Amino acid sequence: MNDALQQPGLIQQILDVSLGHYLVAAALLFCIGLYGVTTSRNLIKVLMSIELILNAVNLNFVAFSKYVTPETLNGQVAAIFIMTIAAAEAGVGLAIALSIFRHFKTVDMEKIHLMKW
Amino acid sequence: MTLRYADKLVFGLLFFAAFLLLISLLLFNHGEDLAFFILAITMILSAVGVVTIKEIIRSGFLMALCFLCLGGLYIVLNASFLGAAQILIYTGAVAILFVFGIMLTHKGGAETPEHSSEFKSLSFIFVFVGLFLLIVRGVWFGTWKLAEQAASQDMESIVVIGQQFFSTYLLPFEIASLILLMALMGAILIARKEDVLHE
Amino acid sequence: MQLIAQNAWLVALFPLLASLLIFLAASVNREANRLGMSLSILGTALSFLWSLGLLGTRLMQPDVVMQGAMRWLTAGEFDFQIGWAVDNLTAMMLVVVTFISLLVQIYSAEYMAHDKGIPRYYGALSLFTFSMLLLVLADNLMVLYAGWELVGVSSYLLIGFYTEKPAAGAAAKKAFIVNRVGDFGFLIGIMILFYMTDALGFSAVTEGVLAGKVPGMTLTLAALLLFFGPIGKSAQFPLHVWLPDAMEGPTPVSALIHAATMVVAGVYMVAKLMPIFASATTPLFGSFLVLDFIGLIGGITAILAAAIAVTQNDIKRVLAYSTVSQLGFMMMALGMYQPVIENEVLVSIVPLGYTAAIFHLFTHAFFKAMLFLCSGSVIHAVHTNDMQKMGGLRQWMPVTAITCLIGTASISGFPFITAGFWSKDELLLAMWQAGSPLFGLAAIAAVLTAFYMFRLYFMTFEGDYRGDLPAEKIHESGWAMKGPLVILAIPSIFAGFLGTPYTPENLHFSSFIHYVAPHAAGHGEGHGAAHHSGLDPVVFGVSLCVFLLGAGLAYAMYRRNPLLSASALAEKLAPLYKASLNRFYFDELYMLGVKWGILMVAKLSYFVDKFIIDGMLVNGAGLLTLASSETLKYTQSGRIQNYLLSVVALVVFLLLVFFWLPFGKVIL
Repeated sequence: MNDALQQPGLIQQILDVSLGHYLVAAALLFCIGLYGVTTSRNLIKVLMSIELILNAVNLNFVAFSKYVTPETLNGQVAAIFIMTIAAAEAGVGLAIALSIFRHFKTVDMEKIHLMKW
Repeated sequence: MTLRYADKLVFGLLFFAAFLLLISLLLFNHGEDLAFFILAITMILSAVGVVTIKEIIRSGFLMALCFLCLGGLYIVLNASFLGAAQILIYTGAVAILFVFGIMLTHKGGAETPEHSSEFKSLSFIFVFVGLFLLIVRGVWFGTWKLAEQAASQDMESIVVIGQQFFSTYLLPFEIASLILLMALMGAILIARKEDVLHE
Repeated sequence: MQLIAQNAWLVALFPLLASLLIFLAASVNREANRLGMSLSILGTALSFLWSLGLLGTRLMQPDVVMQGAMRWLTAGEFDFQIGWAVDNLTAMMLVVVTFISLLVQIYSAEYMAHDKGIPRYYGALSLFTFSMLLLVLADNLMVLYAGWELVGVSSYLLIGFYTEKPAAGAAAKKAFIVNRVGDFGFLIGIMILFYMTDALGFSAVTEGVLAGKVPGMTLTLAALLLFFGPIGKSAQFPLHVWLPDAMEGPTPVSALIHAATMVVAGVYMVAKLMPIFASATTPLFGSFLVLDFIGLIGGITAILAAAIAVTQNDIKRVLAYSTVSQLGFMMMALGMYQPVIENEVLVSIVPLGYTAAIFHLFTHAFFKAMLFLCSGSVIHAVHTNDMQKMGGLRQWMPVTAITCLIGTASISGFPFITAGFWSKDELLLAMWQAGSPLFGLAAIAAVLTAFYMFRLYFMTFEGDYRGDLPAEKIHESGWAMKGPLVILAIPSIFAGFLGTPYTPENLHFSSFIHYVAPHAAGHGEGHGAAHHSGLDPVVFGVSLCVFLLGAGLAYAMYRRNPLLSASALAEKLAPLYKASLNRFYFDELYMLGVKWGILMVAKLSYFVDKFIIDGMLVNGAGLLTLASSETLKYTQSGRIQNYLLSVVALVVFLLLVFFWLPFGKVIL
């Protein structure tokens, strides 16, 4: 091995998985979810994207749980709470989607604008 | 029956993911890094599929795949209980719930809007060029209070979580159960037909 | 003694309680006449006894410190106290105020017996007594100012007591508004001193001034502004116009407020703040100091009011102008000083007329109150104010006539035996010693004083009855009215003996009240300037001549068979006579100025309101709102995704700000 590997270079840093990797992955997932929420025209898809966002947050929590509080696992506890809330949100959200669909006969986000000026 | 391009992509991804998952499980003790990359890449790709593919039912299944990979990542992160719960709850329950939702709101295959949203590029710039790069910058230059040593190998995460639930997080735990109950009742009340009330 | 001295503030508390109780009773029963009267008299009597105790304590134990304070409010580092303090001057004022207030209230019991709203009358009278006592007891500028405004309010209430008379309401408003003009300057003066010295207490402010915290010209200006208050309250030229109109109020009120107590508040204030006035050694211009200004204003007032009083026919107005004139005398004396010059630089000032002014205030309070009460007695009997419809009243009203004669003699300066002679002598002496040219002015004003007072006496009580009321209906007043007259006649004569040149040193007025020059901290006790220089033959002679000239002229013109025809003299001096009769047209002048000024201001305001406020601001704001809302309403698309996108954009923006700005590092 040469000395260059003693001082990890950029490639080595990228290949060595650490907290940052999980954070970046979670950020990417979050951004994809956000993009989906703001651009999808299907109501159900918007709900899916919200699930993606919540899961991105969960990934952050679990990663922190491992790297920051490995003894108490606070992050995992928080993740379980978020899962609970997300499940409840999915249930209620889909119920609302069904109700909206029954009312407007569509799930197109651009046609649902009762609160327009 | 001919498969369209998107169908091919979905099935290809599914098989690819199953393959990679197998490999990563084989390499569990030695290749946590490799497992991370495989799972993360699959997760991101399937997430991209969720928001970009037009057919909504495929989005639903890709979402299930995305959650599956996420469960794998949890296991890599020493959160075996959470990983199992993720696979059970999301891949099992939530994804199926969404499939039901898609089917209930399906209207003869014409539900997909013809033109896409007019804010696509604007949203892309804000989210990926703005927000994502800023987060990455924060991650890159941020300093984290990392723990001194890793968790001891014989620690059972499920035991610790259980102890936390019944000591520090007792009140939020109870409230969470109440929220689930309320969500259950609320979902029923919202989703059922309105005229049922008057019969 | 100790108890009395330590609780001097109770003096002010009794009338306040009485006033509150009376108003409370009046709100239950509007005709609670006896209760209101008794409460008021009881409160004032207690105050009077307490004040006597205080005065006695001051006389016997001059070293006892009488002061105290209550915390009112604390704002930041500034701690504001309601402080009271009793020094010799205050003790004397307390006794004078409560004594005359008590007598006037007893007198009112009969005088006001047939009027409506007696509880209201007594409530306001008690309130006035409280305010005046607060003003006198105050040991800081803000409390003094509070008392100052409170006497203004109660005076307003009492002038306008006859609510059914429009003239009374107008007079009340006039008094209040004219006083506001002066009070405005007073308040600014207080604020300047407070800003500069960071203190409100008299001693603290004086210390600050002596320590040089206030620059010379600023101090002069502040003192000048402070003097605006007395100009209004003591009815000095050019704000003297309200006092004669204030005679629309009940006569006992005129006696108490507009002759004996409230109007001398200005004199009291100048005396109390004399250390500040005397420290203002930077001249306004040339070598004209603030004290010169005070003296000049006093002089103009004295001669002007005396000249007007000569021709008035309303008995109360004559007395009102005489009051204005006498107040002018006091101010004139306060403005007398002896400059102390070292190396051709004015280093300090020794006031000369301090004791004289206070002494005159003291004697004037008695005889002027008595004269007003006499006029009240007369008006009560003949139901008119017009002296041309009186005459020969002495045969029906002997007590009133004699007391009135005593008062007239006193104010005119009947030699040797009256109080007025000695106090006026002191005033003239002070001016003579200061070598002021105002001495001549004062002498002429004194001649006029003797003349118009004897004119009043002769027209009212001597000669033939000229009124419309049947003579048999005229009768002497009852004892509730005669009693106070007789009681007041005693000090009207004997009070003067406190200040004669022959009075033993230790009993002399000036040994009790004199100007104590303040010294900056650490320089020891200021020496008591009890200057009391015996008899000056010139001044004494002038005093004598003045009385003889004025009284003789009045006798010659208004005796039963005039040696000198008043109307002939009036014709000879027609322009002067007309001007005097019309009060030198001050009211007309003010009305003209006010009317013209108000019209201009109104036109300007109309323009500003119509075109700038209404046109540009109101309608402009409406148009702007309309236009912007018409534009911005399109952002309200009803689509949640767009709203969310704007939230994301804002978050990105904030993150950028946090990363770029220095404090961003702290947050992330």
